[in-house]
Amino acid sequence: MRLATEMAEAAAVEVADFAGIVRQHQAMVFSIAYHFLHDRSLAEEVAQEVFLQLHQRLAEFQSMAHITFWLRRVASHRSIDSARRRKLRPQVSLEDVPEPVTMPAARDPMLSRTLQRLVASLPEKPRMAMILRYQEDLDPSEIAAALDMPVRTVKSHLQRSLALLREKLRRSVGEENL
Amino acid sequence: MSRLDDALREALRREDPGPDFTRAVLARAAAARPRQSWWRTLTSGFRPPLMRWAAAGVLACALLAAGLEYRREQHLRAEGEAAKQQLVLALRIAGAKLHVAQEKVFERSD
Repeated sequence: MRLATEMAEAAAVEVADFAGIVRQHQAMVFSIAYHFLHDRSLAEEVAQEVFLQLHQRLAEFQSMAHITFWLRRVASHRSIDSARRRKLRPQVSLEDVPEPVTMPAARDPMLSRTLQRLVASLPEKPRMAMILRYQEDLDPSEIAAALDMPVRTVKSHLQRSLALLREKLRRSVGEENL
Repeated sequence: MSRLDDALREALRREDPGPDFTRAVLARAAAARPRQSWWRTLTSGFRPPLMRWAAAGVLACALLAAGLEYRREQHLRAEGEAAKQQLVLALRIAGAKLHVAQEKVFERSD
């Protein structure tokens, strides 16, 4: 009887812990998938799968930092896998993205949408590197650890992607504004 | 830090999927029992709490077996001792009777 009570209490604590972890990290996991896939329902599906995988392995984690690292890493890889499995090509090619017609303001919804589409048009690895750099504010070594690639490759992806985006935007807004 | 960096941070900022997402994840997690690996299943009987109970059980069985064996040995020893005493008594009686018989034989021969 006592054992059953203790087991029920432990299960309740585990559920409460897991719910807290989901609430704390869902924006990160969902946003990685959403910015990568550019598809809300698919991103939600990927993010849910990531959390379900975490739930199955929850006992293996020793700290919240470990959970955060694991979630970021698995969300990145699952997003890439999902795009490959469904043969999702970038929904828009770089050349199809309309150039901004006005000067970008600090918080310009139109510029944000344009940049989101530009990022979504990048190849897989550079795209994920850009998302981890600017959404998660990770440095190249952290991105390299999350994506299992050399730091030099990450830096190269970031530099090329930034140059590409800058070139696309410069045509209309002028170099001095970027 | 360029304006492009700022614009990218703004464009790629985190977006919360909302409470419905949380509910959906928790419902799916509740529906799916945690899947154990074959190794965890195999070793589940040896995890600490069960391991302690198993060790205590084995120790209790060993102590009980040792006690029973000691008691059996004591019983056999007592039986052997009693048989020895009976044999000694029988030999003494037989010796005494032989002595009496020997005296009678010597009396007749005299």
